[in-house]
Amino acid sequence: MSVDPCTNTGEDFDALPDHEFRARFRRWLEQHCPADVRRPAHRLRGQRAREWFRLLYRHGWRAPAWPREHGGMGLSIPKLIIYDEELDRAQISRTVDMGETHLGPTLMKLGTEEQRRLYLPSILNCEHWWCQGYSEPNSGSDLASLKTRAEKEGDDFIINGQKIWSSFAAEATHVFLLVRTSTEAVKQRGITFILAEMSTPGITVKPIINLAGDDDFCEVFYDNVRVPARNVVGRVGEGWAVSRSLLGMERLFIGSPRNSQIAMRALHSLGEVLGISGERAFATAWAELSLELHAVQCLYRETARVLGQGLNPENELSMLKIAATEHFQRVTEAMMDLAGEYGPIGEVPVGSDSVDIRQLYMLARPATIYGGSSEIQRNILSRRMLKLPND
Amino acid sequence: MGIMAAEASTVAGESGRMVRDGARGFVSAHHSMKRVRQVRTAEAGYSREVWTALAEAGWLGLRIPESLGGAGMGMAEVAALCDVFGEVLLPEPYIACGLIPCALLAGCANAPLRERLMHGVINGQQVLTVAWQEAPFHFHAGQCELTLSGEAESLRLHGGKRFVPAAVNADGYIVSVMHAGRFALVHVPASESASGITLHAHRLIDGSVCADLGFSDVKISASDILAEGEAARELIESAVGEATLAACAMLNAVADRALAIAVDYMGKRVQFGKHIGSFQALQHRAVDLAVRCALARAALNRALEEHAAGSTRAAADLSAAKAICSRTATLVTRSAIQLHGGIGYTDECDIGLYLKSALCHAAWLGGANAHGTRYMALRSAVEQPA
Repeated sequence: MSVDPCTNTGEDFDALPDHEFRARFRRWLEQHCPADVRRPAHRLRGQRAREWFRLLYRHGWRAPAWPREHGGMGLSIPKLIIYDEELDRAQISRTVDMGETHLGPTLMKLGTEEQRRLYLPSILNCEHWWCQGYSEPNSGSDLASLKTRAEKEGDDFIINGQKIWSSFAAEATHVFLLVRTSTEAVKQRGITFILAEMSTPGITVKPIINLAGDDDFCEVFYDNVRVPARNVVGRVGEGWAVSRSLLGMERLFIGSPRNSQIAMRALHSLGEVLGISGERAFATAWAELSLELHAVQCLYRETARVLGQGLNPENELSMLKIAATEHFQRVTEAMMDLAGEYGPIGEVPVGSDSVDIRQLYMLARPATIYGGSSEIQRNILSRRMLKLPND
Repeated sequence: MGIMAAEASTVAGESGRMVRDGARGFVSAHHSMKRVRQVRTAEAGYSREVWTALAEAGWLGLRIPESLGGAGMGMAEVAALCDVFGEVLLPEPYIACGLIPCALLAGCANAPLRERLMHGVINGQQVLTVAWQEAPFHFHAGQCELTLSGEAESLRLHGGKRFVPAAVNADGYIVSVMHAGRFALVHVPASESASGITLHAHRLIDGSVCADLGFSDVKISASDILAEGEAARELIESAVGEATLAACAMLNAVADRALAIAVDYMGKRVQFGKHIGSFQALQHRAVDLAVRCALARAALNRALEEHAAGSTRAAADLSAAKAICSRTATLVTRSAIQLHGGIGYTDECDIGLYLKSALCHAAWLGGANAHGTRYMALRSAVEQPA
């Protein structure tokens, strides 16, 4: 085990009064957060992201939602919201850490004792950096139709196939993926959740350039990749349920209004810098988007509270995802629209930083596609919540 | 969506559930959708009999302290009550003639006047309505120009008020005035109409009635002054603020119920050999409306919470809620007509009644634009967390 001795000082942050917790975290961020992490419209990735998480880790601010027994901060929902609000206030760049948000909680729930011991500390200290292998070229929204195969051979599984949209796979040390271990009538059966090291022979990563010009997404090819059977999480053939076991904070996160808030701030700065905030079109769009953001924030808060009561507001989570991501898009559209010629040019200096209109506009596009597209969410809500007929 | 609304309005908790159950019992005993059409020809726009029953069941004094003969409940319970009244389009003016006048009487410093009027108002024998608005688009209840002139024994009221809800057949009015340069609230009995009160009624699209009132040298007794100065201003602003929250609850209930009716219809109506509710285009429309309903409900719950806490952002959140709920209810109810198709355009079909109710509640106490503007002006105080 390689737990950094500086961390998990044993302090129970959740026991602090809200205002004190807020003040402590705010002060810490002010004192320790490096300047290059304070670029809210940018995504922090790779080595810099890992360094930032290590810094949080050394000072006991890592993995706020994880229980303390697993080395996290063990914060309850109201504190998690404060934590998030303070990150937002300090204008911290957006980060993606699939180990913290996805794999860790899954292992806590369904992993073996050995898997937890092996992986959880390494997620916390960033020795391991995880990516996800779910989607395939012909299995996007219809994920359960996935075809990447894993054949049992002695104590191992041999994986063959292709995954796509694996974010930051080129930087990852490990991958958690869904593979087909049997073909049965119900396509959700016969899927298995398995862990692999990216350095395993037979894995090839090919980055994909997206519309924002970044190479976040990757194609990952699996060619006779040998993985020990002890890397299966949950039971063989029950991987679909394992991948769906993430509820609560992980799903709340995807409907967080944070991206919208960042974009709204950028829109506000643009209005000032370009001298258009007094114009009627700007004022109208600004007022409308502000009001809508308020409503999304209220729904976010309420959904978080219901989650905190130990309930599973699955319909609210789906509605929140639709509302938050579509609002984020509308803000970036207004930005592009109002900025005139500056829109396609892109970068507009704002103080010591800049707003990249093009990049925000493009960053907002996939928000309504990943994590269950807006249309898939609507299909689900129409059946599950409104009970509309299928005929 | 009604499906969640009943469960998700957790703000009031157990007491809210009790209010809701009790109100449902009242409604099933005294109300039917037929009445919503009948009141269109009723002079007052509602039934005085049902009003009395409403009073006798104790609903009018819900928010009044127990020491003054009420039930001592908060705005969350009032919102739960409006949830039930809104979903069945109860025509009786609970907010205008129950909630607001009761709040003014309960909070006023003139104890003898309170004693004289409160009992009758809670019992339903005296219907009071509050006249504070003087111009369209004006919803600052603490500002007015109508002047009460003269001294103690010779007080005279001269001027007018507009859009006074449920003014026809009211037994009296509580009127905001300027008296000797100070804001004040006075009680004006309607029996004085022989001596100088004129009433010009407007029938609203939902069948309710409001009126423009004219006062021509109406004699006022000094004992009828409820409150004066800053206290009077705070009193009416607070009462109208609470009424606005209640109106939001009505709007949400109207929207939720209209969507539930449309969704139900989509599961029954067959075209092209299929239930129209199985068509994805319609399903997605319905879901979008449900999302709007959930957002509006969350905005109201937030406003109720901040109101109860007396927080600095209460006023901004109230305006945000009224803007959002007004816009949502009109969007959802008119979309519900579209989801019905041709039948939705008939007077026979209930869905149109929901649109009409939404239009009235959306415009009353400041519409989406007015409150949206006010929210933008107030939100700067909100944006910076402590």
